[in-house]
Amino acid sequence: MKEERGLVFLIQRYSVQDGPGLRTTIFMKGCPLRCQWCQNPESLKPYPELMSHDTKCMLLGKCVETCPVGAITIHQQQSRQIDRSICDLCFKCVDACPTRALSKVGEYMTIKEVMAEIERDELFYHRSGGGVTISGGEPLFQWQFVLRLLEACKQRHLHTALDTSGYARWAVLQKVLENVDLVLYDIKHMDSELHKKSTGKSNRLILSNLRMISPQKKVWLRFPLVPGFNDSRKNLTELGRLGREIGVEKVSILPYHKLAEEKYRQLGIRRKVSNIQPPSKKRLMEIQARIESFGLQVTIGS
Amino acid sequence: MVIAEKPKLNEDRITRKMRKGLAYQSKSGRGVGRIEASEGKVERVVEEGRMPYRPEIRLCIERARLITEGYKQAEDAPIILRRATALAHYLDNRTLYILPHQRIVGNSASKPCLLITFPEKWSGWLEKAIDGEYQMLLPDEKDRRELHEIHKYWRDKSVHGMERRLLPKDVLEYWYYDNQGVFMWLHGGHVGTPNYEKIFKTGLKGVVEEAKARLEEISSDPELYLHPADYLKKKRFYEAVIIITEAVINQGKRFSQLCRQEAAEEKDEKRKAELIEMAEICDWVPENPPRTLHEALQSFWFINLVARVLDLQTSGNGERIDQIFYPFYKKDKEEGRLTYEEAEELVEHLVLIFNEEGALIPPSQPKAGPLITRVTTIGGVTRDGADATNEMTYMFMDAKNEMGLNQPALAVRLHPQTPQALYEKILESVLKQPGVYSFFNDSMMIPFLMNLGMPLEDARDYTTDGCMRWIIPGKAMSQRALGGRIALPKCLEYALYQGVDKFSGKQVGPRTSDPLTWASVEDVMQAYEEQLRFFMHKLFTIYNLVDALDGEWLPQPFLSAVVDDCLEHGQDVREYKYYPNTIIQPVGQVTIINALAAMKKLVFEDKKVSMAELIDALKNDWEGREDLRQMFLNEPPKWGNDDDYVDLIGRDFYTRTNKVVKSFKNIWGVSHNEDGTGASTYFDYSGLTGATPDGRKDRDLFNDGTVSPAVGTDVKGPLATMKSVSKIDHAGTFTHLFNQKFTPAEVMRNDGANFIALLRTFVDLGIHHTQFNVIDRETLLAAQKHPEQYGDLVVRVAGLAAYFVDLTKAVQDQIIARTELSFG
Repeated sequence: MKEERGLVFLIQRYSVQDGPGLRTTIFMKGCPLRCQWCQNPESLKPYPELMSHDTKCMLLGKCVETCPVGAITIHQQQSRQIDRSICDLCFKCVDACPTRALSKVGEYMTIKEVMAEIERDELFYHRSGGGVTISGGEPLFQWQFVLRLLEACKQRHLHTALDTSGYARWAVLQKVLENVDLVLYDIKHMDSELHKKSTGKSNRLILSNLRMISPQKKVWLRFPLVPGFNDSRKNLTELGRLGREIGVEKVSILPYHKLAEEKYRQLGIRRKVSNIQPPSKKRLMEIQARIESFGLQVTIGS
Repeated sequence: MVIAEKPKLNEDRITRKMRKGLAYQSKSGRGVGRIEASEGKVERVVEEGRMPYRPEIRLCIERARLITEGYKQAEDAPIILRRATALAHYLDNRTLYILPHQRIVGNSASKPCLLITFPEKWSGWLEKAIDGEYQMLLPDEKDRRELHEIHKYWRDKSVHGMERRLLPKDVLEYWYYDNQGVFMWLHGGHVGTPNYEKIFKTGLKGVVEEAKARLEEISSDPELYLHPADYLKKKRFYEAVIIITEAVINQGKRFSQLCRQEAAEEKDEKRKAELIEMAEICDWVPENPPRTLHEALQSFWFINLVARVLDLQTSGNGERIDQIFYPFYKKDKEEGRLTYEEAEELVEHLVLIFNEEGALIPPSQPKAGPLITRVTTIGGVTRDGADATNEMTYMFMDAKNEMGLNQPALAVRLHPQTPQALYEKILESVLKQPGVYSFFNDSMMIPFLMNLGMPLEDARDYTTDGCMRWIIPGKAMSQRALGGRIALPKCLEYALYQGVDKFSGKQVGPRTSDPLTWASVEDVMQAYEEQLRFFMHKLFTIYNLVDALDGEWLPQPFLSAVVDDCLEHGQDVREYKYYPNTIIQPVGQVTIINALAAMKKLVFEDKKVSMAELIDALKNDWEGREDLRQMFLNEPPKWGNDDDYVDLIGRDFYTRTNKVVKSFKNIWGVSHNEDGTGASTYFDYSGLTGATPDGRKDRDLFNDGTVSPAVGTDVKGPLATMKSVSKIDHAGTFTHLFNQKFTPAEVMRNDGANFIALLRTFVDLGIHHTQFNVIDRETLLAAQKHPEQYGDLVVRVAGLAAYFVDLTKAVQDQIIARTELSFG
């Protein structure tokens, strides 16, 4: 029988923003939401993708020679272009490129392979009170794999955290949570309509799942702060109330930044020009204070 | 731990003003040229108007003058008596001074900001340099004439250089680094650490009494006259010990007199009282056992000054400074003589005097300038295995953090029972003065030393003397601080060209196997080992000859008097040795490891490139083969990412290199060993090595550190790098200088808990050493631009704590480029 594999797009060792202590974060690929501000566009599609790193490209032309369908061209000895409509994702160009200016994002890995990476830093987890965080994309998009991965972690007595949007059937979530110590739970907007408009889905399922989780699991709310979208006084108040009501351990504000824009280009994704600006430091402090006023512990960035 | 309620020191205390005084600023050489590394090329550029030292620094010729007079007075005496007489003559006649507000005294030169010289060790290079690039150190024509005159006497007598008149031709050719590019012979100086605990019990008068009693004993033993050679040797040794030890006692008396004179003229009542107190202290120590912390600190400095500076200056130090003083502090405090604040202020005075020392040392890096470093040790376990941390451990850290001066650096010993409070103090300290601290792991050092044959209790007493060198304090050890710098990648290059130097076309190394016949990394390693063995044979021939010459011409009667067992044996520390440690300093390890991994992957396994094609590209410095160079740079796994593919090659490489080194014996019949101290010179010794298969170009820099990943190649974060480093057989090899760089924000994330976890895991993993540069990139860039504003920015380079602005631009750039470890 073929061993089950999960599609992982990154394993980040020495991760410190996704739960307590020094951690390893497993980023699963594939997501049901389409948040307009998504900072990890490479995490969305449930299959491996080709990324092009133009700053590393020295126009050596090895990819052009290698591509079986002729999807790559070098334009006037100045820039490399990939015709994504022809590219059939064979990734032969990735192996051929000596400067690593092309990469494949997304690897199908077995539980054993992922565990081998996790176990490398076990000593550090013990010393720092860290462990493993499963993130995404939306990890529950591949819930059967994630379930088994969490079981494997628990067999090793590792601390586990699940970083989720909460967009999943309760039955699935409930099953997965059996092996989770801490839930990092995204709240993008309290208003269902606005939520739907900018993520593609309503927040009803997300909020009802959260209320079911909170009595049984430790929860850290994560609030991706997108200026102009979810930083209204009303939304912050509702968020604060929710946090107080369900008794979350803390709220993490994850401020919008522009570092992801390059990634969209690398993936060949055209998007509407976004005029969202990262929040100022002053504004951040105000928002932090606002949420804190509900008696909550609030951190910025992690 | 008591430290939680540490009292606040008086903000206006005098030491805080003193530390800004010119007399206490760095006396490290700055190099007359800078080594510029641009586009991977190393060039030596002599800078217009660049001084070899800070502008206020000058040479002091008093020591050279008095030592020479002393040697001449005792010209007919056996060498040990000649040295004792000369040194005593110098001590008795040299200029003493007390700087304003000083409470611990003991100057080295005749005036502040001067550097003393050591003609009996070396004179040749200085003889040339004072009419050239060092002329500004001795601007007075008359002084230069006098020094030339002094040097005339030493022309054939300076010990360094004697070996060149004695070496066989086939070794002499290799003495010159430029002829072979693999190693540069460095005499270094001889280190050794007095047994302060013992001297603090007996005073130096106890030493004199013992020497006299033993002299009496051998003189009245008729049996001994039957072995006259042995008898005479012992007799002269004891006589020398008595002469020099009495001179050191007298040094205290001379300072006492000076304090009294100054007290008589002093108007300020408070200062007058201080001077009178100092006069009493210097009258009492080092002759008698100290009774208070102040006396112990002063006694320590007198003994250290002679043993480590005035006799034969060497970097390092090597005492357990928190252990030797703690009993005095405890007693003072219990008897109500001293508060914590007063004790810390005294310790700050000791830190100040450490920085007042000025001695010239020959540049070990041709253009970069010599760095002096004093290193002392804190923390660790006691001789019976308990945690040794005490209040003075913290006090020395506080004093160092407060003074902000680079001497002495603190080597902190960590072990599984190191208390959380000390980790918290470390966290605070690396944020304040990151350059001052390095960390050593008892979990690795103790088994390492036991494996060399040390008894458990002595192994637990180890200290760091110098950057990476270990020593057992108080034991009869006198070891060479340097030895030779070895550019290991040049040996790989010779293997690739069968011993031919690619730049000169000459057959320099042995004709090893044809690389076109190589089928695996094992074949490469065998050729590399054969090349290395050839060059090590030349190097150790020089080493052993120089050790014999040093033993013959530079006995150390004072050091012998203050370490264990020499008096009992009646033998100088050069002859009787607790453990005869001899070390060399290889660099460029990670360059080779990445090169081996690249060849394994691309040539032997994937067969993407043939060996002929690779060698052709290397010969032409990758000219026209950028595609190939990029492939070798990017495709193969790199050291530092917890990847067994390359890490196990690394492990094997460290072990086998060490085996080659250890196959050579020193003159005491013990294997030579490696040491990580050479790493600060990676940039200077890379200039004669051609392109290597890790994608490096001709003359390009090696990695810094001896186990740190190459710049920019550690992409999996600091834990992965630590894991890679931990795969080396640390207790079986000894060249592990591990640099890490963090930004302050990263250190402080999660209230520093992550950083502490990292250090604790460092102990768990059995890694030998690590040190951190915790400075914003922005700060470093600003310091490069406006050096005048960042004069006190201390960074760590290899094992040395150095002022950033003293470093060459190439080294500065490397420090900036070193991957900032990110917690994010």
